[in-house]
Order: sequence, then C-alpha cells, then structure tokens
Amino acid sequence: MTALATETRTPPTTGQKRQLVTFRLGDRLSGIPIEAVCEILRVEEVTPVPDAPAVVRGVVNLRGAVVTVLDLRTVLSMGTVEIGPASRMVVVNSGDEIIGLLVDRVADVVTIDPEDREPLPANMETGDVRFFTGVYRVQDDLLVALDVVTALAEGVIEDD
Amino acid sequence: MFEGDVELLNDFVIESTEGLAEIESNLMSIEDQGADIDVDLVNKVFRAIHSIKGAAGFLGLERLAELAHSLENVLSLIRSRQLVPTTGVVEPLLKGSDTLRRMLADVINSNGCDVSAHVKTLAAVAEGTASSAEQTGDESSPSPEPKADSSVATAATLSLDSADLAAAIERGQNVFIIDWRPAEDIVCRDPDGLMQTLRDTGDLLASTLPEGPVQQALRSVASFQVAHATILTASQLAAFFQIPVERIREAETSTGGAAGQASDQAVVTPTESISSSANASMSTSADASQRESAVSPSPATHLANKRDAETAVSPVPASTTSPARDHAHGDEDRKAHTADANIRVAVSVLDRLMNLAGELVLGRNQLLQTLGSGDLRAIESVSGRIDQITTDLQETIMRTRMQPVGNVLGKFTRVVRDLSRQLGKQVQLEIEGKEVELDKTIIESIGDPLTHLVRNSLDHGIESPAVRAQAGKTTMGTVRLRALHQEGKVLLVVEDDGAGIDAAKLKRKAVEKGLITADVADAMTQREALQLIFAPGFSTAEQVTAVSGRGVGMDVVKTNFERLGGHVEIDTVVGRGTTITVRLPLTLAIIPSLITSCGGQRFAVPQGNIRELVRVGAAEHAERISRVNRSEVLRLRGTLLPLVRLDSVLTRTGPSTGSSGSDDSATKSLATGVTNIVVVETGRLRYGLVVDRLHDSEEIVVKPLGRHLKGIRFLAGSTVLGDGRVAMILDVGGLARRSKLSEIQDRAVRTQHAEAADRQEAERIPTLLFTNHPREWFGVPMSVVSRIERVRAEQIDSVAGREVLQYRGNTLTLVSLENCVPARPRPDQTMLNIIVFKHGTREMGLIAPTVVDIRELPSEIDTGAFKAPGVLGSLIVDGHTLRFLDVFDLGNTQHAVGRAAADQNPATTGDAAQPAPTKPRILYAEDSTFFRNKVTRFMEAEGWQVLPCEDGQIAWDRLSDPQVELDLIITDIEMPNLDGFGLTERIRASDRWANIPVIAVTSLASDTDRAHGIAAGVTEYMVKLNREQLIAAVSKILGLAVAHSD
Repeated sequence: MTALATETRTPPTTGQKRQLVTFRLGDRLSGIPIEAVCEILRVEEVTPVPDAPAVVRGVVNLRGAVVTVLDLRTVLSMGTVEIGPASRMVVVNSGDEIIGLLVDRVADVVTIDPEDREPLPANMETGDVRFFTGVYRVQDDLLVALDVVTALAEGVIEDD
Repeated sequence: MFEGDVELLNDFVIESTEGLAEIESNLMSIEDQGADIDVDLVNKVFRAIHSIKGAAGFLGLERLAELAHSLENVLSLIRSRQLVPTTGVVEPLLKGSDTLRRMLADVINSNGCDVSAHVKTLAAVAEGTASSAEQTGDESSPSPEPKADSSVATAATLSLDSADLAAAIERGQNVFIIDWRPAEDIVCRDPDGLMQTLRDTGDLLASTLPEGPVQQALRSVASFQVAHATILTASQLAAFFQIPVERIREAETSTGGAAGQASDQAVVTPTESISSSANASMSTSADASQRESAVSPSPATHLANKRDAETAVSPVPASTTSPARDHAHGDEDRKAHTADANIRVAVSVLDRLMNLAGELVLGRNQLLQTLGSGDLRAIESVSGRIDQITTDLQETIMRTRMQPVGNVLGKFTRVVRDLSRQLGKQVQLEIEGKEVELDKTIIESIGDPLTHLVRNSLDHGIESPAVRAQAGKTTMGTVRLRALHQEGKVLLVVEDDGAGIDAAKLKRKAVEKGLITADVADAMTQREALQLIFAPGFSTAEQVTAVSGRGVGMDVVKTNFERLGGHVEIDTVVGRGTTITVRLPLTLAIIPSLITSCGGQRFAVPQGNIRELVRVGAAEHAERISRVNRSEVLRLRGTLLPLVRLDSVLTRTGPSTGSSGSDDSATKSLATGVTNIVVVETGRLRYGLVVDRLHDSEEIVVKPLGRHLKGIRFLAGSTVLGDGRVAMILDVGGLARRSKLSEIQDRAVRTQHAEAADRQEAERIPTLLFTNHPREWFGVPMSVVSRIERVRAEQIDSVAGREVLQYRGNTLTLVSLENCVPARPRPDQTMLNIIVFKHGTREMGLIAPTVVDIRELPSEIDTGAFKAPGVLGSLIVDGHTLRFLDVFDLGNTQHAVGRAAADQNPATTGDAAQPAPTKPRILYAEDSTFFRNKVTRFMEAEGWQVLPCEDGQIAWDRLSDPQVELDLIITDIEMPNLDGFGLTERIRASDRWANIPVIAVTSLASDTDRAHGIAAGVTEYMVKLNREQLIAAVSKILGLAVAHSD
C-alpha cells in the first residue's frame, strides 16, 4: 500500500498538474488519481457477502480472482449506488489487493491545476469530508478529489 | 541490501537449514555411541557444518562462519578420536547448532548475533582435549610448515566505520577487504613499503593488525585483514601486491551505519587456542581430509578458495545489522528473511508441468477449432481431453507443494531427549514414515499441536523408570511417531507404551471441575469419557508441571488440527499405553465441498465437516423438528440435534441472540414443504444446518477474501464456481459460534440427558449396509463413500481380468467383493449399486448389489473373527453377521489382482482371486533421495515390499545379511561408493544371489552403458524413470520367477 500512499497522498499544492479519473455520485463530480486506477468495468453480478461491513457491496469474480466491491456512495455517507446500465466499477490497485469501487457513472479524465483549488462551498452536501483532498473548479462544475487510501481503509476491521 | 545476492543467500539458507535438520539426531546418535564412534556419521555432521562455514564465509556472514568454525573444530577432534563425544562435549555442539539455526532463520541480522559465548565454550571443549592429548608440545610453535601456517587464522573482526565506508564509496572508490599472509606475501617483507603502497593506491580504512610497530605486528600474526578504499579494481590490486585475487573481496555498504555497529561491538577473536589446538591435532593425524578441513581458515580466506576471479559474485557486506536490531540475539519469534517463501521443486515435476501446459495449449487450440465446426461430438472429446489435462495439471501443481513430514518429525528427537532428561524418565523415540508428504501449509502448522501431543505422552503417558519397573515393564519407555497414508488421507500417530488414560479418573476430574454432572458421568462409556480430554479447561496431570502445564489444553490441539481439516482420535489401554491418531487431508488449497443454496445465494460446505444429509418432508416436520430451550432441534434416530438456519444467519445484522428468532424461516420452509438439513460436525459440536437447496458436490479452489471481509468468522473463504459466479465457503465452526451453539451445547452437556444421548451419537459410525450374496452382510463407513451409483449389470465390462464401468466419460475400476475377500459370489440381478470411493487420487467402485440401509453402528467391532485383508472386523446387526470393510485395502487388492491378471495368463484368474499373495521383496539401491522415495513409494503402492538402500555399498552390506530374503534387486548405476555395475558384479559373483534378477535403472542410456550393464550381469536395463514401465518390468520378471518356482 505504500506505493499507492505516496502517489495519492502527494499534496496537490506542489504546483504540478495531476490527472484524475472522474465519476459521478449523484450530481457530485468526484475523482481519484489516475495512477490508482487499473481499469473500469461494467458492473456485473455482485455477490453479496453476509455480515460484511456496510461499505462492502459484495464480491465479484474478476478473471478468477475474488475481488471485494465497495459502494463509494456508502463510503462517503451518500446512500447506495443503484446498479444500472450506467453504473461502473472502478478497479483500483491497493498494494496487496485489488478492490472495486462502485460509482453511479464515470466521466472524463480531468487534469487539475492546483491553482484552481477552491475552498469547500458552504452549501455543498458534504457527506464525509474525511476523504477529500481538495475541491477544484472544472468548467462550471466542482470536482472533489478523493483520498483513495483513506476511502479503501473504510470498513476494514482490524483482525483481533 | 543484499540486492544481487538475495537469491544466493536464500539458497544458502535453504541448503544450510536442510543440512542442519539432521544434525541434531546425528549428534545424539554420536553421543550414544560414545567412544565407539561411527566415522561416517561424524563425517556427515562435519560436512554439514563445514559447508555452512564455507558458504557463510563466502557471503560475508562472519558470525555464522565463526560459530560454524568452532563447531567444526570440536567435530574434527571427535572424528580423529581425540575427543570422546560425552554429554559434556555434545551438549555445547547441540546448543551451538541451535544458535546456528536461529541465526539462519534471520540471516540478514546474523552478524549482529553474539556468538562469543558459544565460541568460548567450544574452545574450552576443544582445549580440554588438547591438554590431555599427547602432543601438546607442538602447540606453541604454530608454523612448522607454511601450509599449516595459514590455518592459524586471525579471525579478529575488521572494525570498519560505516561513515568511512560510505564516504569512500561516495568518492567513487571501491572498498576491498584484503587478506594478508605475512609469511607468504612478498610485499610484507618490506613492511614500510607495504604501508606506503597501500597509501599510494588508496586509503587504508581499517586493519586487524595489532597495535605497535608494523614490523613486529606482522610477525605476530599468520594473517590479517585490511579494508582498503581505492579506485583500482580487485585484479589490479592483486597484481600490484602480488597476491592471489581471491584474497581480495569487496566490502559493500549497507544502510544505517551497519558497519559502524560492528565497531561498537566487542571485537570477537576466536581464542587462539582453538586454532592452535586444532592445528596440533591436525599435524598428528594422517587423515588427509581432516587436514584439508582444518586448513580451511578464516571465513574470508575460505571465500577466497571458493570464489572464481572471473565470475566473482560480489559478496555481501561484512555486517548488515541495523543498530536497532543490535540486541535481537535470541529473539526467535522474529520472522525470517524471505527464505521460507521458497520451496524446492524437483526438475522432473517442473518438466511435467511444462509438458502439461503445452498439452493444455494444444487442447485449447483444438477446442477453438472444433467450436467453429459445431461438431458436438468432437467438442465433447476435446473437452474430455482438456478435463484430463486439467486434472493432471492440478495434481502436478499440488505435488510441488508437497513436503516430507520428516521435516517436522525430525525435531522431536531433540524434544524427547531434552524432555525425558528434564522429567527424569528414560524414553526412546521411534519415528516412522518421515517420507510421507503433506501440503506445505499443513506441514507448517502441525508442529505446535504435535509437540503438545508428544510432550503429553512424555509427561503424562510414560511413567518414571521406578514405576515402570514395578509394573514389570522395561525401564525405557517408547514413544512412536508415525506418519502413513490411509484412505487418501495422512495419518499422524503418536503412540506411547506408558500408563494409559484412566477413564474413571477422567470422569471424576470432569465432575470435580463441574464440566459434567455425576449422572452424566455414570452414563458415559469409556470412549465418551476419553473425549473429556478435549473439553476446554481440562488438564489430566495430577499437578501441572513445567512441561505440560502451559495453559494450552488438548482442546486447543484438537482445534488446531481441525482447522487444517483434520480429525483427532484417542485410544488407550490402562497400563499399556495411549495412541493418538490425527487424520489430515493431503492439501488445503482444493477442498471437496457440497454446494448448497440459501436465499438465492450459493454456499460451499466443506465435505470434511459433513456427516450426512437429512431431508425432512412436510408431513414429518412437526414430528421431527421441535424446540428445546428456545432453540430448534432435529430428532435424528432418537437423539436431538441443534439446528442452525442459514437464512436467519444471513438476514441477521449484528451479533445474534441465540438461535431463536427463526420463526419466519421456519414457517417459510413449512410452506415449501421440505427442509434440507446438512448435518455437520466440528470439534465436539454437531448440528444441523438448514439450507434451501442442496446442489452438487464439487472440488472447489479456495480463494482468500479481501481485507474488508477477513473478519467474518463464519466464512472460510470464497470460490469461483463453474458458471463463473462467486460462492462463499462456510466455516462450520464459526457458524456455530455465531449462533451461540457452543453455549447451548455446553449447557446441554452439563444438564441435559437428551443432549448427553446426542453426544453418544458421536462415537457411532454412520455405515452403509449392503449384501453381496443375499445372506452375507457387509458394511462400509459412510465417510469413505463419495456417492452411490445405480447401474444395469450389462453396463459392467470385463477388461483384462478387471471389471470396469464406463461412466461420465471415464473408466471406473470396479471391485467385486468375492474377488477380494472370502465371500460368496453376488447373485445375477439386472440392477446393481456401485459404491464410489476415492482410492488415492482416483475413484473406484465397489459393487454392492443390494443396499440395505444406512445406520449408525458402534465403532467397537470384533476384529478377531473375520480378519482378512480388506476386512476391518465384524459386528452383529439385526441378527446378521456384518463384515466391516476397509475399501482402501480392497482397492489395493483389486489393483494388484487386476495387474496380476493383466500381466499373467488369463488362465490364472483362479490364483489371482486369492487375496494378497506373498509380497515380492525388492531391494532398491539409489543414492538420490528423491528417486529413492518416489520409486519406493510407488512400488509399495503396488503392495511390494521394498528395502531401500542409499548406496551400492549399503545394498551390498544388506545382501550379506543372511536374514535378508529377496526376489529382485533394482539398482541405480551412478552411486558414490559402489556403483550399480560394481554391485551387480558382486551379486553375480556371490553364491547366494548369483541368480537373482537385477534391474538397472539409470539416466545413462548409451549402448556402451547398456553393454557394460549386460556384461556385469544386469537382467533388465531401463532408463529413468517410467513408473508404468518399471512396474511392468518387475511384474514380468517376478511373474516369470513365480512360474519358475512353481
């Protein structure tokens, strides 16, 4: 996980432009660093896991490996993603494990400039701010950059 | 930090650990032999230590090399008979080898270990002899000849400041450690010149030369080392100083001031007396090999000998310990370097894998082609092929994970030795079946529970010598540790001839501890009482001793084995001893499971946990399923079984409140009419798991769950089913805990008679009853039955004396009872039942014309009356004598019968039907352990008796033993002491064995070899190593031999 941590935690204030894979959760545009993303897949059948933490939507068979799928809405306290034709699974590499993140639909890859960083609007339905690394103005929209490492740690029960 | 050398280092660790594995037991044998030493054995230990020393030196693992060197010195004295290996001598050797092993386990930090205590003790041991030896006079003058000179190694550690080192490297210099031998090196004759040259060519960072004038210092040592920072290369330096390039090695930098740490340490100098006494002993001995080894000097020099100037593998730094780990010495728990992530795989297995992968690709291509054609039958045949290849592939890959159980069993020699001493008991340990193989994961996990069992045997089982003498037993107690294959599982047996376990005492104790009531205790049979041992919080020792009283009970042992899919059984006779049998599966990665579904989802239940399946129809529901104490129970053959409804577990969120609250689901299943119950067992718990539907049985591949899901205790993992969907694997134990079943049952054990009756059930064996001839009843334990097939009699073919059934695209070999055990033949009937069971990796079918019933029968059966191969014993059921069958044995018999029938004349079927003819006795000489084990095993699987010998000489020795009787000899050609040709020549020249058939199996395949073999008198010459061919050849030769003797 360390590799990812260093990549994604790099504060976006260094003046370097960064690329984010963006997606919608409801109306809100969110994004995660492109380096963390392996692939984006159509959501097929997700097998629910009994007794799993709330953020875990279930597991899927990804080319023979059993991959945990997190509902990113649930992670951000924004309800649940409804699986439909537009919903996608963003597969991220989290060091020793591959994890799927369920989103309502994916948008473009967006390059952000630290200069465009904006304060969090007071009227924004924030959900949980713990996962935000910054808010950026992209055209007419606001893009929330997410901290993947923290998001992926959600719901993990430390063993013993 | 070891970058380029990690692989080398790993190899070293693996090899050295292997080398050390046997040292313990060998040292102990050496100790037992006392003055009458077995030179070969000592040599063996010596060689193991010696190669560790060499390689450690090569890798710059100085502490390891140092300790190995000290050990070697003492061993060399033992070998030359100057030192009698008494306990006082062997003990420090054992301790030293322990430390070696510990250092190897954490090899990167090994240089931080302080071995001076060992070195000192060992030196004292060696010294003890040197003073008693006769030629002590030589000692003071260590340089009678230049060769011996070099052995007086100054092993003073080079204290190299890491800052200097780093700085030098920063400057672009190479830092070399140079070994100097003042007596040999010409440059040293001019000390001032030497120093000047060193200064001229670079910077002198450190040296081990004593303080004081250089001239004097040079004279006082036989060798010394300097650390030299220079821009020259090693070979240039060598040319410059006119010394062999081998004596120059590169010092590498390491992170975190590692080298600096070395200077913080007291510089360890192996006492001069070791070297000199070893030296003295050496000069008195004519043993050339010993001379050679004694001459191998300091690690650095040793490195020099080994290293090739051209292929110079850059050696690892002298010290790589990070300061934080400075005092980590003795910290055994710290996990080792990546070394244990490696596994040795025979090249032949890899080759096989490669072949199979090739075949798989071919199969795929065929499939793609055929799919295009749309020819259904062709597709079927291709998929059959792929199926076959996949199975082979799976088996072969499994084989790469298999390791001999001896790796674990070996360590018990030491445990027993130390413990018996501690307890004041005399105990000998016998180990059998070291070569039996188990999956790596299992091997790694059985050590602890097994240690506990052995400890128990010694502590509670074996009596003190006085007590034993009083009981008329030998004062020496015996603990036997056996590993063997049975019914496709591996059995580990811990057996002692001690006091046995007194059931009455157990009951008393359990009542005292409040585990059971007196009433329940009275109702218990002996077998049930024995199970009390596994109850949590039960300790049988009169008083808790240092040995066994570690707060870990037998319940933990049992749980540990069960976690591995194992099963523990206990058997005891008061006054005679105790036998504990652990049954383990061969592997964990693939488990046969029953697929069930519940709430629209599918779940896999491991077959190992399943006892039986029960279907309760709507009509019986009220009668069979009822409530006791708020929990649902199933009435099963007069006992009550708690039920867990899987759907209620699934729908529940958060921790449960007992197994109540299932009213909804109860009504639901009432509506559908049928309740499907999987009766499962885990540990002492047995319960019924209610599921919606039962599907097929499948072999599933276990896939671990991600970190979000690891914490869910009732899931053992997940798997991908044939249709690509994911199914969860249920952990039967976790599910029971989740439903608070344990509590219910624990309460029940104490209070409820009904539940006590249920427990009694646990000691009964579910058995399939059938008749062959209508008046002869047989029983087969349900646990071995894979399934039962119903077929028409004409579907059974007879091929080469065997009965087979074509089914599901495969050929199933059938066993007819009358061919294997004395039984009347089955009647002619149109429909037959076939009991399908696993025999090794394949399936076989037992013809059971009429199935009578499935019943739970008491496991105490009469083993005397009908004892025969394939028959375990007998029992009276409903007025019929029922013979309990051992299907695995039957399978073996059938195998042999079939083979004999196929190889011999069809006319001899009469003979073939006779159960288990006398076993052919075969001597097998082979120096490769792998081939020896492998071939021995498959010959034994044929039912042949094999006498393996690891060398031609050993084989010849065995042949000289008049007790040995043989039918055939199989020999390898290339063997170290006496090769196959030599062995055959001797055999042919002897009176006794001149006519015995000899098969040579070898990798030499040229015509000249063949001619040589024939000339030597080899009967058959075969190239390594085709199992089928070899078996065919042996059968043919023995078949001829049998015919001849008739």
